[in-house]
Amino acid sequence: MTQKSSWFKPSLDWLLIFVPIAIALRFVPSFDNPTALFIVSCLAIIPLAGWMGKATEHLSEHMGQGIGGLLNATFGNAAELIIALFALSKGLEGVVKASITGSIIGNMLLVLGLSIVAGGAKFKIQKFDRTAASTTATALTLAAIALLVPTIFHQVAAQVPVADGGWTPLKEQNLSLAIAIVLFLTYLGTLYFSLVTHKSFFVGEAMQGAAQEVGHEEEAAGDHWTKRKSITVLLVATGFVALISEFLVGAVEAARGALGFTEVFVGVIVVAIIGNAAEHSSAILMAMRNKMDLSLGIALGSSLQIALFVAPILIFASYLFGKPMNLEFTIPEVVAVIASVLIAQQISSDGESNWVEGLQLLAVYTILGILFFFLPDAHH
Amino acid sequence: MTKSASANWLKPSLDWLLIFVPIAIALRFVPSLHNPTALFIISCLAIIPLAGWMGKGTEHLAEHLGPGAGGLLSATFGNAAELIIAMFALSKGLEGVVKASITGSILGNLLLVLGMSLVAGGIKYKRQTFNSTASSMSATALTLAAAALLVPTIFHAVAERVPVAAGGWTPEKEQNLSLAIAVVLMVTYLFTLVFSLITHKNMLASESMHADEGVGVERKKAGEHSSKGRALAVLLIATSFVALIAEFLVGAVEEAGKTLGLTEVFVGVIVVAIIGNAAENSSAILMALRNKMDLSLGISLGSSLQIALFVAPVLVFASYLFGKPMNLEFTIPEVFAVMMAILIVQQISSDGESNWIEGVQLLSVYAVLGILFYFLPDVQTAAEALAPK
Repeated sequence: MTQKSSWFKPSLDWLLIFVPIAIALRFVPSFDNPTALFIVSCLAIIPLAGWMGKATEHLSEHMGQGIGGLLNATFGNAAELIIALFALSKGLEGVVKASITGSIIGNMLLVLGLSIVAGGAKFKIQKFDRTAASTTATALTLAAIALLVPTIFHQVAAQVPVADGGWTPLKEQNLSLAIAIVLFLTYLGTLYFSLVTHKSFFVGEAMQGAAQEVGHEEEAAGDHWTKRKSITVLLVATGFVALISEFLVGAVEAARGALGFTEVFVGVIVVAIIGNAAEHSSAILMAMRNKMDLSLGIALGSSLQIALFVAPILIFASYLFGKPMNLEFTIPEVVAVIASVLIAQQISSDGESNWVEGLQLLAVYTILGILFFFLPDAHH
Repeated sequence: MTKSASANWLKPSLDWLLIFVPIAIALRFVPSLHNPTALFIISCLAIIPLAGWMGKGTEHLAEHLGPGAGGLLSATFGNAAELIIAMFALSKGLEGVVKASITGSILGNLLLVLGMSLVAGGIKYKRQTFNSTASSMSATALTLAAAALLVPTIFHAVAERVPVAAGGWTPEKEQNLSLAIAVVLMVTYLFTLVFSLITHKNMLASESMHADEGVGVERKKAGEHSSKGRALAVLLIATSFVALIAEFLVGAVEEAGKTLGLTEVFVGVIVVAIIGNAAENSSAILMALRNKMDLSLGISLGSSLQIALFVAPVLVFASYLFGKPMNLEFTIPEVFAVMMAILIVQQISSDGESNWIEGVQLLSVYAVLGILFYFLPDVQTAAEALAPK
């Protein structure tokens, strides 16, 4: 209990109380209330995702640098992935796609914004390694371009008759699959870069460095798990995340109706905040300790992973469910991603931050949130 | 003798492609071998080493003419192969392919050439550095070019909503607008030449425009120095072969495109662009392998810039001579692709450092855009994409 407080805010674990409440709401017939189940599941998943992350890091320490880094990088967004896979299996393609863009935007604007504000409230000017931040920012630009292409394709090709090679769902699907493959290969390249050829190159390099440093922090605080304990915690936490995800996804449609949220709003804002809450708390904590490289590494690296790893995996998985998903996003989503990438770049390019920069990121996030709240569900 | 010399800066393997020159000629003139698809592919391969020899001839000649006139020659003829292919295509009315090859050359140089150079150099050196002032100047000039290429498309999309009687869109207006923009680009190009050849020739920044000169110096050190007559002869022979093969290529492109299932835009953006820039590609990669990143970036960024500021306006002017005026209106995906390419190149070049993953990122963007153009049906102009349904 005492070790936990060294990097994880104690308050987050209190949310575990919602796990039994969610289970009760789901299985006791007289409690049937989708809206309540949805909200409680959202709250319950936050600490579970945190425990998954913690167990992954501990386990990776036992695996050595190479495999450990890979494990960390791959399972870094496991909670989002599990929620998305359940949603995909229920055919909630709109929510899944929105949660991809939402996670990217959320990490770049909300997580980074809160971190910079939290750190900036304590330190007047905080410094970080410009090179690491800008390499990640470039990769995010690549991701934004890739996510924009299927939308452009639809807009342009839809104007041409099908007989002349115009838009068909099958073409959109094949285009998306091809792009997913390019993204995934780029991800493998990025892993190779950060785990093999340049592992000591950047301080706190986005993908694995951050998580590892967090691990070291903890070690210094005297917290060291055995391999067995790590695996047990990982399995138990993952099992619970899967269970609660299933509740969450099952209740989302009914809750949406009751709360008046659109599919896109739920995906972009709600699911994205829930799935990334664990990253939030570590990124903020690192910023408050003036470790801005780690903080940026978590926030930007997590966005990057969503775009280069989670998105392609979801496309590949959608074929297994027999309901192929494409990568075509709504225009507001694409605009939001591009705007986020641009402003995150501007803020990270000078290697310095102060609280007003964080405020600017949060303002952009709020404006985009307002946009998605008011937007009706559009068909792509 | 040429063999050993060429091995110094041009990979020997590129010259082996010269074997395709007689094959292309045979395919074209022996009736029983008639096969447009084969002719197209063989011509593509044959033009690559010829373009390299043209570039080599130009540089040698430039050395004899002194820095001023020589620099001008180098800069002007740097993209001569693309220009010749485009001229032939223009004379056959393949306006779509020509315009696509303009955007394709810009994309190819920025993403493919630069990406491959960064990967090649990055595999050998963990971290490579370059002068970020020079590269960011080129990037700024490229942003100007992108803005210019965007304007005719915006004009069409907006003006079309107004009735013709009230001053709305007409093909003639689009043409005049394009001509005016081409004049502005050309004037900008001339000033850029004055800047890099006269007023600021000592500044490192000038490297972007004629990095080729650096390549020439390299070669001189390697002991290769040819006479003026020889340089001129090589240039003339290579140019006439390029013209011949370009004529084959353009003549076969439409049928080959159909057979291979490739659209006009894909052929222009990807195929013609790769062929026309293969020579630059090999020198840029070689410079990166030698850790001369300033030259490598100078070749790829400078070549894109030349396409936008010099080749594009010249093609617009030339189209009047052929009696089929070409405008500068590009399809929305092309405009989008150019802007995105410039954005990501700016990011990568702004820090003055490179490593192999940055090259991979550029190649990924190129692959993603290539996928887009592969799947896209032919859309003649942006108007069709933007017109209200």
